[in-house]
Amino acid sequence: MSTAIAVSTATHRYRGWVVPIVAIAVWWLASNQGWSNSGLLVSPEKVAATAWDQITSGKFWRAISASLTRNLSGFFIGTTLGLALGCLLGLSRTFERLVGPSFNTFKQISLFAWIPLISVWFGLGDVAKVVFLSLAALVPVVVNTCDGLRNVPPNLLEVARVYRFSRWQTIFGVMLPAALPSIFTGLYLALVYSWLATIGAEYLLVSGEGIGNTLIDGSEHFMMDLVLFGMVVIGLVGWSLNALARVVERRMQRLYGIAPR
Amino acid sequence: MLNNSLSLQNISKRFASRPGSSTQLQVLDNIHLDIAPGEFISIVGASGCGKSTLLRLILGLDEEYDGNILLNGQPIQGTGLERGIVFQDHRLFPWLNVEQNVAVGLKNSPLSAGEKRDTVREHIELVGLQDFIDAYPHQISGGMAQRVAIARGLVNRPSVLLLDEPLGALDALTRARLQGELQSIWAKEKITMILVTHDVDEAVFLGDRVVVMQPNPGRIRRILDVDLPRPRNRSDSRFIALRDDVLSDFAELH
Repeated sequence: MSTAIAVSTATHRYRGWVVPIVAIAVWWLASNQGWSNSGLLVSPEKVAATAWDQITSGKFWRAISASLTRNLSGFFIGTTLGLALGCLLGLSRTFERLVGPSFNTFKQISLFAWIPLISVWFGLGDVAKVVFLSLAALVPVVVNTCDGLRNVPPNLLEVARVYRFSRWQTIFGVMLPAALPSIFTGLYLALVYSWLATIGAEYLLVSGEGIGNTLIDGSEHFMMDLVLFGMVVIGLVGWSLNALARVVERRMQRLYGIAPR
Repeated sequence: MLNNSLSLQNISKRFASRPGSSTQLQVLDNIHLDIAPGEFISIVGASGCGKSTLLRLILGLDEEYDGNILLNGQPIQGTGLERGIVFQDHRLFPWLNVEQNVAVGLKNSPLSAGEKRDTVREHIELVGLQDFIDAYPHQISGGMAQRVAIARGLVNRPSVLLLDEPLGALDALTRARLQGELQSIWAKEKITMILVTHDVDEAVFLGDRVVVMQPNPGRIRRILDVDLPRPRNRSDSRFIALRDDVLSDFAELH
């Protein structure tokens, strides 16, 4: 009985690999057997060879470090400003009445609509890209932080009143901890959006280096091996950022008593 | 801790039945009650009789009312550490463990850190949760969480502990057990307690006196003395007679 269960768990874990392996096998066959004579069909070996060349020649490292540096800069600037703005909006009624309506309008503007304005003001280089990324990170952080602070359960706020918490004790002892799951959602979205925006920024503000630029170079010269390599890298970075965020999320869930998904 | 008598004098409260409407609901009408130090008062009544509202007024969460609430001869002003409460929903902070949650009651207390730690531990032992001192609210059962809430309510030694249907959210078995525990905690701590409940059995089991309230408007219908020795026995004929006496009030209201 137990061996049967052990076997089924093992196959269950490997089921996810079937589709990718079959896909790569079909792809290899297609290029090897010449099912298509389009120059756009490159073989898996060619992609692997290009990958190897990119990594060993240092081009890959320059590109990825440029992209990641911009990503992290934009993320940190955007989240810091976002946390500050979100806290002000969430904690001060006056501030919310003054600035809230303007911010709500501002956040409706689709992120990529800012590109023309940014490129005119900041050019096409690194500064412009980081401004764009900061914007991408800022909006979800503000919205979720403000929401989290405004939606603290009134029951808990009454407990603070019963024990005569001062305004600061209430903010740091009740409101911020209660808002933390929401704030974390904002940070997680900021991480996702800023990575998306990093690649987008490299397409639209074309000057400079980055993994997105590598992809564009590849597509402009019809070097599909480079394009596919770029896509794999982008996917892997996105996956790692996601995995990192999930680790932090799980620790927080354990603290707040939410069952891990 | 000299004369901690609580005196409710001519307490009345009105709510507008709809915002901006001129018709008003008389939630409480001329409530008058004197509570001796160390007494256990049970307030029993159907929904809408204003019993929870009355607790909120005593607690100081609501300050709009007519009349006087005097503790130790002084009118109360807002909330105060000398008046504690156990709510029906435990209202523990989910991000704090049992020990830290109980310590919330001492946040603004003048005790030293060592004294605070000792009295927190003492009260956790009082409610029998010393093995769960590091557990988080989501890791303990509803009954255990309510015991933590009781410990938190008692930890700063209030003059009066209010209990707003504290066992209402629990299953019948846990409720019966906690009623017994509440009785022994009260006997040990000798703190004035005011329990609001819709469970007549519970009211007679725990109280020195039972205050029966009726709704529309919220008024005290009558006050019964429960002159039975503790620990109370639910099967005792006098207990049953008293309980039926109180219940009869509710049968009449239909």
